[in-house]
Amino acid sequence: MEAAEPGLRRALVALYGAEEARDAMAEGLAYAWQHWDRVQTMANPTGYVYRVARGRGRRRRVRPLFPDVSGSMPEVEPGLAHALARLPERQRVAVLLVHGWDWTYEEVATLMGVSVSSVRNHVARGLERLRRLLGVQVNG
Amino acid sequence: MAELETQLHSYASALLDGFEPVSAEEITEGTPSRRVGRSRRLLGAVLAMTLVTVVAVGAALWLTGRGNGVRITSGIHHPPAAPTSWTRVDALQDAQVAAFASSAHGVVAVGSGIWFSSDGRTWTSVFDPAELGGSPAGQQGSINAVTAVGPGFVAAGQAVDPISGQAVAAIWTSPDGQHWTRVRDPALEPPTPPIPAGNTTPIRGSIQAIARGGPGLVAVGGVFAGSFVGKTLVTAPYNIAIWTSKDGAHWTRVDTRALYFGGGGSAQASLSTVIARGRSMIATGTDAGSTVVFESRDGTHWRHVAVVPGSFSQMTVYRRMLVAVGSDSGTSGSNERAIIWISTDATHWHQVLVSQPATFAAYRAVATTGQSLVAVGSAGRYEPIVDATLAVSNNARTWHPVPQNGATFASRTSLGPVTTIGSHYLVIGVDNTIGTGTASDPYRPSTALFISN
Repeated sequence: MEAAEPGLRRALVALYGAEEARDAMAEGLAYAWQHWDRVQTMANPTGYVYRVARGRGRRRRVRPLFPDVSGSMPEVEPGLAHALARLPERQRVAVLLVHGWDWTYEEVATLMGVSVSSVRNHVARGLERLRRLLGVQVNG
Repeated sequence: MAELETQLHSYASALLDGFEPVSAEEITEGTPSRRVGRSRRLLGAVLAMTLVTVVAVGAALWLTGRGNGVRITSGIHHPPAAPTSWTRVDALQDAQVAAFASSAHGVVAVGSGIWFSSDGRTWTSVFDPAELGGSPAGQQGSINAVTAVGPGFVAAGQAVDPISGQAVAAIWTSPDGQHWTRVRDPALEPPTPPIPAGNTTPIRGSIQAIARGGPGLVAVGGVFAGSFVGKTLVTAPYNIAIWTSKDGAHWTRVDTRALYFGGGGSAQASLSTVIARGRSMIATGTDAGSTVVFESRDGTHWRHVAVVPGSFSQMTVYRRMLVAVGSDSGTSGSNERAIIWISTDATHWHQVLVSQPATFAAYRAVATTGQSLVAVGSAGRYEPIVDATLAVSNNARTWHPVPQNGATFASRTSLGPVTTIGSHYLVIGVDNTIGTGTASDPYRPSTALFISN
């Protein structure tokens, strides 16, 4: 799982924000460790652990928490953190992975266990909704 | 204002700043690191109400059971999910194993050498013991501890300097568990008081335990601090020592002068265990029959937090709870009791299992899969031989000593160390009773490996 850790970290940060992501990752990796016999034979162990961590977060009713960094990053819209937290989960993860950390649609699709076209839709709708929430014009 | 996509790129980078890596201990011991949210507290309240109901029903069952001659312990009996059967594997017979560690690559055993296994059953020697130096007549090197760092490992112990013939603290690193390199860092061999020529009894330094945590890694042990009159040692020989490292390759010795203990008649003063619990590090040493407990947030600044009667052999962390195993006396050879302690804060320790008194009774090692725990040790050394000791638990608070009927661990006189691989436990069994040695030394220990089913 060492090689998968950076990707898993980004996916869970996109899902929950950094603070909750760490707990989710610890839980997911602990689960993988305990079930390593099974996990190591999977074609997509990273996606599996991501879904385990996501499922456990749901059970704990974890709320995404994104810090407002506009004070230290003037180039970032002050409402971006709040807007991201209001995006539907899949849209937020897809938008942040693709536009935040330069993942390909294929990589995101593999992680989420969905089709590439689904990811494309999540990204497009996520961006559209973000712009609406921020009151930003297209291309603005 | 920049385009939205550009903002997302900047914001995403900031999100990762300060994200602390999840420690190996949190993963292998299944300990989510932090807080319990409101929803968990709500769940806790519901569980508490359920527990009240369960206890009431359990009490009724217990009373009913007594009347029928049936004993139901603690209200409701939950048979342990911890292992109940073991398989002996013919491996590591000639090894003296002091510690295990597991990573994604496999399991490493260290002691009189280093052995590697990808499945826990087939083992390969991957280290030339000659690199430890020493001679049977003089000081000998040994590897006392090992921890996983990502897919790799860092091992620690003592190696004998070929010129002085004296042992110094030593570290070895491996990217995969199979290829090992000794770290040469002056911090591991600090200046010590002079030792008279020809006197090879005191070692100059040794590392007893190592763990992920602090700036990256923390190693603990002791360094020589005694003084001689002529060739006679007239003071306690050792003081505690702590080293930290970010990468395993470069080490810094921590100033521990404010933490020294053991001057009051203790033959040795060194730290023997260290472990990470969340963002804290806990280290312990034994002094005249008591365990001294220290805590640190960063691996560099330590404070004394407890003195516990008894001697800790090893600790683990189970769901944020510290679990220590050992015995009630630091002086082996008298009638001892094997003990398991738990603590939620490193300051207050509670005995949760105490064995019957026996010569050399002690739990030597403990491990957890995150679901269950296993503690292993011995109870008795001389005739009549008492079999090895093993206890299991599902919650760290309630332990079940496993009756020794001679079936599984027959002829094993002690067990330990123990580790996990996936959901299985690996434990070393040592037999001191078989005459496998020479005529002058017939009781050379033989080793066997056991894997839980």
